[in-house]
Amino acid sequence: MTTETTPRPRRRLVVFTASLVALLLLGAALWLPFWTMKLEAPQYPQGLVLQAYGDRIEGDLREINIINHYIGMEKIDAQPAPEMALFRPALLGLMILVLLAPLHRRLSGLAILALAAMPVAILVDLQIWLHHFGQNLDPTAPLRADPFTPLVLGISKIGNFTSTAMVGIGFFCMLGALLCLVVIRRVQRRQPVPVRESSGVGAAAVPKARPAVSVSLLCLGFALTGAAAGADLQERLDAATPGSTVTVDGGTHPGPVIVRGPLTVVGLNGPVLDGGGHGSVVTVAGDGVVFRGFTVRNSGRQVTEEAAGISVTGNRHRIEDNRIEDVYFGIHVEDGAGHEIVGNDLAPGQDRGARPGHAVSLWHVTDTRVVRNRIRDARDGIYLSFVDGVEVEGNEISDCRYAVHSMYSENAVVRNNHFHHNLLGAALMYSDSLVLTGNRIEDQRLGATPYGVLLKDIEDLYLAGNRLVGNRVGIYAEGVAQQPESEARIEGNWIAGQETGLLLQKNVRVTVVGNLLVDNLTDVRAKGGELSKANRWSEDGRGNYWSAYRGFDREGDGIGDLAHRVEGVMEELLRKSPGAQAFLYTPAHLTLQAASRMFPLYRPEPLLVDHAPLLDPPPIPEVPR
Amino acid sequence: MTPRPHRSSTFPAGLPVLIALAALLAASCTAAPDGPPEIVLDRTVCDRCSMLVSEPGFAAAFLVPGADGPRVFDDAACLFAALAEEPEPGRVRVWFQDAHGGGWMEAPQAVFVQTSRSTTPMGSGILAFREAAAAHRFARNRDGEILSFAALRERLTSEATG
Repeated sequence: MTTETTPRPRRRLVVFTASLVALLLLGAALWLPFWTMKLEAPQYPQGLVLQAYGDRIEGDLREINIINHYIGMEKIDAQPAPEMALFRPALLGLMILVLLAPLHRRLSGLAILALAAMPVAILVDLQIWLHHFGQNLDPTAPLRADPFTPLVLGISKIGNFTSTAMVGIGFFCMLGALLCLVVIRRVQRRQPVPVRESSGVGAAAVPKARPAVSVSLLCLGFALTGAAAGADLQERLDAATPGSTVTVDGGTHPGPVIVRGPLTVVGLNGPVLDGGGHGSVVTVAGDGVVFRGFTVRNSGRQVTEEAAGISVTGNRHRIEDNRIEDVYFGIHVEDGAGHEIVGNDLAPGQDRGARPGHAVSLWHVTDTRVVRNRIRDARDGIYLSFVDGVEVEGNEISDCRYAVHSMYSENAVVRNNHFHHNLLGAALMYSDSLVLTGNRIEDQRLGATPYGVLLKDIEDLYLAGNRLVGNRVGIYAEGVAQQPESEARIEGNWIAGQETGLLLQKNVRVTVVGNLLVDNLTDVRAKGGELSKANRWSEDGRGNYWSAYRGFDREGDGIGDLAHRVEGVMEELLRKSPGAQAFLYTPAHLTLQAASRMFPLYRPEPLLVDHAPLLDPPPIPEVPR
Repeated sequence: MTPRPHRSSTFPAGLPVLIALAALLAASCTAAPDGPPEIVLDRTVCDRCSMLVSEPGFAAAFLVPGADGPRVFDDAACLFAALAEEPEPGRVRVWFQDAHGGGWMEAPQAVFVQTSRSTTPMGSGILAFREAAAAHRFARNRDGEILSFAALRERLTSEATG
């Protein structure tokens, strides 16, 4: 009688597939909740949740601990049971057993036994701990409660709380793995008994099972490598000598990651840090971190989290050449000094219909530079709040709400940037001692505030050498330089091709000289009907270049002999009949302007008079290309 | 020559147009809305500071009886500053947006947290929550203070009026 000494290919395929699935399921059980308890009460309509993973407890722990405190229950830690530390090694042992199971029926039997025992043991252990917590109440607690034991599975009633406990998806992963092992064992049972004439146990079967085992080992290797990548990176960062350099070569690593300075962390070949949609992806702390060359993505998004791609605390950090996408804040810097944020690509992204947070957010920060970043799809490109001594230079910002937004800031310099196609270019509000020079500010034309520059409640200001082109309003200002000792200057700017060049309220006191105002539908308008008499439209015999100027220059000194008057016929009309606003920028408006110039029978009080209009346009400000 | 047929309809030809116009007029004369306003992100402008409302979780609104409609604010600081200027603030209906995206709620239903560690548009650090648990959790995480509407109103109105 002859017997087959090799398993059929189909059987080998079944064994291989079952082993692989079992390994994957066990790997998943590392990361998925094993057990869930939900507490419901009228005062918590959405309930409080506890989730037990194999090695930790997560969920509304703080809230539950506060409630428990009142009845004298011990505080539940994230890892309340010492045996939880054994979970990962035990699961790894199980995975090795699963790998070995195809080799022999005794091994598969052992694996089945271990895999069946483990979830039961975990549930029993949980029940023991629930009993422990419920029975050992502090008798001196503010509220007296009778000892109780919540059930590890099912519904329990505790005061006005109802707890519903059930197994989680991690439990089912283990059951699935167990099922796979049962399949392997059944296939083994059906295999004809191999010939055992000269060799030991299953000598012929072992080599045939090797391909399945080796591929499974490879898969396990990959799974463990991927799962451990985040932990590995954090371990490497924690173990690095202060002041040293850690390089990360490619790969995707799960966040959160904490970098404590002084340390240089360099990404090579585009490593990705993925926050999994929870909290900040990278936190930079301490002093003197250089963080360069990563793609950072997928932070938490709830407004109350204020999560960031890179959250920065401490001092003198340099965040450089990173790509940050699909986050709430891009880079959020809080309470520090001496940072440099250089050359990053930031696109926080359109977040489910609402805008995300700011791309770069500086909050209570001093002496910091934000340089040569490319920013789009954010609420504000660069947000400065309660900052002092910040430089914003050479950035390109588009498709944001405000390109730069300053609130309650002092001594900020915004220089040589390019802002285009935002809802507003530079929104400077409630701030003092600001410099805005050499910027190219173009095509802010949509929405309710389509301004190149918004100035609101600003004291000292120097706004010079900027090119403002194609915005609906070049500069809108209210509440500027209201303190007697303050000075605001708008000097040497190109203000061209806008519906309104300057739109000023009466509470603006500003010196406007050396500017070029060309081809705007209206060069200057007064919001509210009139401008402050304290404005200066020329200084030391030099005013502005107006394309609307009609005069001459007998001396040839480049200064017009007749003053340039901006009449404001339309403003006069609007003061008397607000309904005439419907005719703004229509042919009727332009005809009225032209008629008032050609037939000066009716000359209203001019909005402004430039006594020294320039005949030659000032040079084009040098701005970034 | 055949005489033109006489139109025997009892309805004047322009009646439907008149009815439509009357309906439009009636619609335009309906009472002003007495509920909270609709916010169009990046379009709605704060009634106080003129900034665009871009994050609904910080927004607030109030309605003065008899006014055309509610006033919208991007931050609680703007609301309380405007409220301090109202001659009869007790008659004003006030709403806040739930910071966790739960929509509008009347001020007395909300639990407030004030913290120096939240980047609200005007830096007030005030957020409103529908659920007390969420407010307490946020206050703990952000070193915030839990306040009722009445307490907050007293504090900020006195700040606004100096």
